Amino acid sequence: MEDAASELVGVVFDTILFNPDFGSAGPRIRPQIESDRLTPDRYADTATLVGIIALGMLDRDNTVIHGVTSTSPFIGARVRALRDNEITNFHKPNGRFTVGYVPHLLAHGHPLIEQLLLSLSDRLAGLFPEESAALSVIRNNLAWKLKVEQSK
Amino acid sequence: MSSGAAGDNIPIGTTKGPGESAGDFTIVTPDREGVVKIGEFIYYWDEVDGGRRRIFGRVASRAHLKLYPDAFMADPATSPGEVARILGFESADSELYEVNVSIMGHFSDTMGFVNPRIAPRPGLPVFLAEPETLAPILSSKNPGETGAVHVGSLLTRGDGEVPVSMDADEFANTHLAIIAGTGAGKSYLAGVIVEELLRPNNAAAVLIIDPHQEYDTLDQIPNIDTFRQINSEIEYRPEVKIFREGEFVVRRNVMHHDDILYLLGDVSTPQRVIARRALGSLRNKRNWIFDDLLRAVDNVDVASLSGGQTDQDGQEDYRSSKQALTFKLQDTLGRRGAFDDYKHTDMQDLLRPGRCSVLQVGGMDRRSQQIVVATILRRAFEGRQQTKRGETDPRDELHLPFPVFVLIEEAHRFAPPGGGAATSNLLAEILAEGRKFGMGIGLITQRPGKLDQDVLSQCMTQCIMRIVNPVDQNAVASAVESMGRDLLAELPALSKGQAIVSGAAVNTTVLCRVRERKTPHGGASYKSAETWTDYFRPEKVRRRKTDEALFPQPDGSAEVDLARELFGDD
Ligand SMILES: Nc1ncnc2c1ncn2[C@@H]1O[C@H](COP(=O)(O)OP(=O)(O)O)[C@@H](O)[C@H]1O
Ligand SMILES: [Mg+2]
Repeated sequence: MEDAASELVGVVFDTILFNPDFGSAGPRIRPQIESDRLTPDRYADTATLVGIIALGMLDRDNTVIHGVTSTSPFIGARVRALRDNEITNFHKPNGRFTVGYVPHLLAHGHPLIEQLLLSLSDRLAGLFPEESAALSVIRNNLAWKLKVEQSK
Repeated sequence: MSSGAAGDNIPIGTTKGPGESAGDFTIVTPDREGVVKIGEFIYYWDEVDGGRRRIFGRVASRAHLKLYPDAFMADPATSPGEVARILGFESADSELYEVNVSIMGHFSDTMGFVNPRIAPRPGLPVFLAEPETLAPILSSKNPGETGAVHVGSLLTRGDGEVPVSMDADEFANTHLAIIAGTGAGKSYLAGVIVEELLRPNNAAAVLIIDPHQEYDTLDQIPNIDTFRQINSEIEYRPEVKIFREGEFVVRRNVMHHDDILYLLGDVSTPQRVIARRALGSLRNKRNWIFDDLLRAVDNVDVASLSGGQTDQDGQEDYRSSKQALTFKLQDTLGRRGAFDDYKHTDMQDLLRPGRCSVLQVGGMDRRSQQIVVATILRRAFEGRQQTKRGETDPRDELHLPFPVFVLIEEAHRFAPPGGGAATSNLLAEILAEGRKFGMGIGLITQRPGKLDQDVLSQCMTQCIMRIVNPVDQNAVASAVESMGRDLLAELPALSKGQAIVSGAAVNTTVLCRVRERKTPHGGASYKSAETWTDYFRPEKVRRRKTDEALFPQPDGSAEVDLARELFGDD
């Protein structure tokens, strides 16, 4: 998500298949006007609601913040996928690798966060092979909590 | 109030509040430099009696306030700090400690340490005590000053950075104990203390009871420059006299009757009664000799002993007891070597300022050791008492117009728990009263649990080194009040040559690295393996073979065969 000076960086953490016909209280995907008219495609009108959790911010001048940010996204902001070099910049703010947003995510308390972090760390290990040792310490710690401690 | 003052080091921590017990407080420190060690001295500033003063304390224990989760340590090749950094923890102070400090107080030249009796307010900066602040307050005497016994330097600092000196006036009056397990460096430290006592600034009169021949190397002292002082006014050269076995003699007729009875060991009641009578009959004969004693035994009126009865059997018993007693006396008191009818090692020969006498008592049996030590201690003590009371003149053997210090190795042999040794009562008496008459005792033992606890607790200065045995640790803990619990916990962790010095001769308990000896240490442990392998060196084997050819031994052939097998027939 971007505005003029800085972009909020987030990660997709949930997707919900959505049909506006069911559950009228939900967000409106289509402009309201159209719903007055009955059109055949209306029945096929589904959408995927993508949940994004903020990880931090990436400024134009490459200043990076991990964790809670000072801005929040506004309605209608454009969302785009990060390029690989942007992912690198985001994780190597001063040339040193960091995933400072992990404690922030864990504090979130969403039941799927640990799972998300597991797959995230696998992805990062691919992007930053030199950090795979430290990443696997973090990853194993998460996996243990998730798979062993929770099944107690 | 401002935090510090000019001349302070950089603060190393911050006061937090009261500690585990009344005399403690806690500080919090990242300890970036790794200087907040157990036994280290720190201070904060506070208002005392209308002035700002440094309040000193000694680090007693430390614990992590922040700990990495165990899981961060899963990979030995990845440091937990690195994991924490990757997770966004960027501070250099990844470690934080809570440190318990025993409060000592501010230092005054007249009062020593004065405890403020109040924990510091939270948030005050804490400083590491500078060497130049510390040295004069740990020891009351500077090295080289009269009475200073410079034993080493503060263990938590560099070698020699903060010297530690004991005050000879204190331990020579109120006694010294050196306690540690075998091999911890007790005898080495005792050697250092004797060296210091013989320097020109002390010129002490020292006697060492040495059962293991560990102190004969002190005889190098007179050859070393630093021990001499020769100028236009003073000519001082210390002397060290080694008395090997047979070179010191106790004249029988100066011995205490109880000591002679003790020397006999376990004897029957009739024998004891006869011996007492015989000795009693010699009371008026000042210069009796051994034969007089035997004659006196023979002359004891048996009839009067058996209660005037003419019971033949009873008298017969006593007669055989006389015989047994005579044999016993010949076997103990009568033996040549330690005891003599005429010769006598003069007290003035043993004890004089600037002289260290080493009595090698190792060759004697335990009872004789005790009797010799008891006799010498008793005479020295009597000499000091009589001289002090003005009852002697300079020609008297017991005229000792100077304080004396006696160092006793294997002290538990001479003062076992609950008494019972010939030396027991005497030692207890000297330890209790020595201060009045200027006689100091230094007890060295590796078995504090086997040393009489009253005797031990009379030693007001303690040098305690590595002790692993819990029984001995407890003995030390109960006898040595002045030593904090905190340092007691350190006892098993000390290394060779490290000592906790506490009590009267220092201003505060201090962890000390014993300095290097100026003379060689004589207590080196026996090189067993070297001697064993030496047995098989070709020239040794050859010599044995030649010897055996010259002096055939009935069962010596096996040795030669073994050597031949191992080394071939050359
Ligand atoms: N302060 C020291 N510096 C160097 N070596 C030491 C020191 N203290 C002890 N040692 C060495 O340790 C060994 C044991 O010391 P010693 O004094 O004989 O032990 P203990 O009398 O306690 O049984 C000796 O060989 C000695 O050389
Ligand atoms: Mg020894």
